[in-house]
Amino acid sequence: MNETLKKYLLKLSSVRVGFFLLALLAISSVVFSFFPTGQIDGFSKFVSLFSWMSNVQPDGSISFQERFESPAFLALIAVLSFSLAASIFFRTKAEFLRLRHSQLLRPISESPESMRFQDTMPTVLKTLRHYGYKPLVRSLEEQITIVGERGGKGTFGSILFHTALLVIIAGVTLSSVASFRSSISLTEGQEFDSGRDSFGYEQGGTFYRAPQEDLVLRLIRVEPEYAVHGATTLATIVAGNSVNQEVPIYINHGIIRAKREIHQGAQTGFSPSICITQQNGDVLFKGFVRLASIHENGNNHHRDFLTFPDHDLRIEFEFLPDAVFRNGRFISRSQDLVNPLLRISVNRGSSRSEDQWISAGSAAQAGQLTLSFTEVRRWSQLDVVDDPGKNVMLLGVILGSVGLALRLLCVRKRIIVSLRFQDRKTSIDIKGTAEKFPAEFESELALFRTTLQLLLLQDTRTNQSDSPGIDLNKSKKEELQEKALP
Amino acid sequence: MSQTLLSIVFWLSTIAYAASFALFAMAAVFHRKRFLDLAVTVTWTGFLLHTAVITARWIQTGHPPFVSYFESMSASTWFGVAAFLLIQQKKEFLRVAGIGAMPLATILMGWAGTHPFGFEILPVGLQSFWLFIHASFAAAGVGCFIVAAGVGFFRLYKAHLNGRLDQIIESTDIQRYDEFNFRLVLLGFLFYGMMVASGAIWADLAWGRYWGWDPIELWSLITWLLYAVYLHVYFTWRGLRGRFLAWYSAIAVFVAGFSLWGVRFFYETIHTYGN
Repeated sequence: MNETLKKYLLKLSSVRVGFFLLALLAISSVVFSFFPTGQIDGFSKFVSLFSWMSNVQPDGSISFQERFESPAFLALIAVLSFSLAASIFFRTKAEFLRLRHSQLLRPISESPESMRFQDTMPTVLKTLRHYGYKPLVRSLEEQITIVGERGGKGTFGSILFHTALLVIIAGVTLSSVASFRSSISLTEGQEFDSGRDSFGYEQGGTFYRAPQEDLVLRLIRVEPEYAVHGATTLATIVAGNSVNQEVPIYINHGIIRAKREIHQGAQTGFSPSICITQQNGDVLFKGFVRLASIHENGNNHHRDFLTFPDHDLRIEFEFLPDAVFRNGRFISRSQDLVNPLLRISVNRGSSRSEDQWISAGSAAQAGQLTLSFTEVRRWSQLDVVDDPGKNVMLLGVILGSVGLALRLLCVRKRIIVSLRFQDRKTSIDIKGTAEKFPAEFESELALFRTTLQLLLLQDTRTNQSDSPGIDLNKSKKEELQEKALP
Repeated sequence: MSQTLLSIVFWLSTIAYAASFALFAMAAVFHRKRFLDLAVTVTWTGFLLHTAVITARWIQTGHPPFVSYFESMSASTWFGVAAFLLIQQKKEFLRVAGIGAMPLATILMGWAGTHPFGFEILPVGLQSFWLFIHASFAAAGVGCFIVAAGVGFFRLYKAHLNGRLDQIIESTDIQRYDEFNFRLVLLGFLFYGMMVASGAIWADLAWGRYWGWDPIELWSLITWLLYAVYLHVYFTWRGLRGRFLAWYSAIAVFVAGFSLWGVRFFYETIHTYGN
C-alpha cells in the first residue's frame, strides 16, 4: 500500500477521528432537528418562525431540501463510513497478526524448557487455568515467560459491532437508492391498478426496478375496530389480483402482495357521495368527496371543499357521523356512522350565499344549484412500499447486537508470569494488563499472586517436608484457599 | 385496587424516594453510617410500594405500563431504582451513589405525578408485543443511565471530600466508581441501542419504514451517539476516564430524559403516548 495513503487511512481509522465524527454527527443532528422533515406537518410553524429566511417563499412554501439528504450530511455519513471501513481493516489485520503471534508461542506441553522449571511450571499453569487463562509459553536464554490470556473475543466483538454499523449504513443507502414508497387513498368499493392508475404520492430510488406483476387493490370496506377499552381504528380489507382474496390489514402489520408491502396509512375518514346539478340539468359534479380528518379541540372534524373556477364557485363541506343538536348547534357524539349529517356552504365570489345541513338521502337547493347527498362511505390511505434495504439493515442490527454483547461481556486480560533461574533459585515475576476495568483487574491479579504463592509454598512443604519453609497460620491459609479457589 | 388507593401508594413511594435522598445526603454530610443503612431501607420500602403500583396497574389495565407519560416515567424510574438496589447489594461501596441516583428518581416520580394518573386506553396502534420490547429497553436504558449519573455524581463528590467519607463506606479506590460508571453506561448503551433497533422493526411492520427522521427517532439517535462518544473517550483518552466522564454521564442523562419525555414539548412527532 502506498505509504502516504496508508498514513492517511491510519489517521482516518483512529478512535480520535471516530470520536470527532460521532460528535459532529450528534451536533448536526441536533441542529437539523429544528428543520421540518416532511414526515409531519410542521411546516406552518416553521414558516412563521423562519419567514425572514430566503428559502421561505412568500406563499409559505419552502424550498429547503430534506436536511438529512443534503450533501453536507451525506458527506459526513460517507466520511464516517470510510473511517469505519479503515478502522475495521486495520483492527482485523492487527487481530490476525496477534493470533499468528500467539501461535508462535508454543503450547506448554511442547516446550522443552518446561523441564528446567518442572518444580514450578505445573503450579503456575494450574493457577492460570483455574482463573480461565489460556497459557502459552515463550522462552529466552535465561528465563521462560508464560502468558495467560482470556477475553480475546471482546476485540472481535468490537470489530463485529463496527462492521454492523457499516452494514446498517449500506442498508440505508440501498433503501434510499433502490426502494419505492407510495401511497394511495381509496374509498370503499374503489379499485386501484398500479399498471393503469398512478399513486397519489410516490418516490422511487434511482435504481428502483418495479416488479413485473401489477398490483391491483380494491378497497372492500373500512371497519372501525373496537379495542377492549373502546378505542377505534380501522381494518382495511384489500383484494389483490395476485391472490384475489380478501385480506384484512391491521394497523400494526401490513401484508405482502405482488412483491410489495401494503400498509394501512395514517389518514382515514369519510367520503359522502355528492351530486351537484345546475338548473338546466347539467351535472357539475358527481362522485365521492374525500373529507380530511382534522383533530381540533379534542374532536375529529371532517372537512373539505370543491372549487369551480369557471362558475366562481366554492362549496365547503363539513360532516358529522353521529350528529345531535345540543346547545344551539350540531355536534358529533362519536366517530360511528349513526346519524350522518352534512353541512354544505356554497360561496360565490367572496360572499357566502347558502349554508345548510342535510342528512343522507336528501337534497338541498342553493340558488340555481341542487346538491344531493346520497350515501356516505369510509376511505383509507394505503401505503405501498418495496424496500430491499431493510433486510440488510436487519442483518446489521443482529450483528451489532451480538458484537456489542461480546464487547460488554468479554474483557481482554493478560497475566504474564516470568520464571528466571539464577543462583540455583527460581524467581517469579507477575505482571498483567487489562483493556478496561483496571481497578478490578488489580484485585484479580493480587488474588492470583496470593493463590500462586500459596500453592508454591504448599508444594515446597510437601516436597521438602524437613525444610522449615514459611510457616503460614493455618486459619489464614484456609481463608486464602477459600478466597482463591472457590 | 382503586385508582385513589393506587395514587396514594404512588405518592408514598415518591415520598420514600425523597426521604431516602435526604438520608443519603445526611449520611454524606454528617458521615454517619446509620443514616446510610436507613437510606437503603427507605429506598427498598419505596421500591416495593412502587412495584406494587406498577403491578396493580398492569393487572388492571391489561397492558404493560408504558402507554402514558405517567407510566413511561414511572417505569423508567423503577428500572433505575432496581438497578441501583441490585448493584448496591452486590457492591457495598456503591451504596452512597444513592445521593446522585435518588434525587433523579424523586424528580422523575414527581414529574410523572403531574401527568394524568387515570388508566389509559391502549390505542390500537400500540396493541403490539413490540410495545413491551421497545418500551422495556427504553426504560432499562434510561434506568442504567440514571444510576450511571448517580455513580458519576457521587464519584465527583467523593473526590471533592478527599477521603472524608471513609467513615461510612469502606475505603474504595475511586477507580472502582469510574469502572461502574463505565459498566452502567455500556449496559445502558446496549439497551438503548436495542430500543432503537426494536423501534425500527416495529415501525417497519406498522408503517412500512424503519426510519423516518421523526424528532423522537432523531433524539434517540442523538442520545445513543452521545453515549457512543463517551465510550470512545473511555477507550482512547485514559486521562479523561475519571472526573471528565463522571461529569459527562451526569449531564448526558438529561439528554436521554429529554429524548424520551421532553421532545414532545418542542416538536411535532408521530410518536404519541396513549394520552
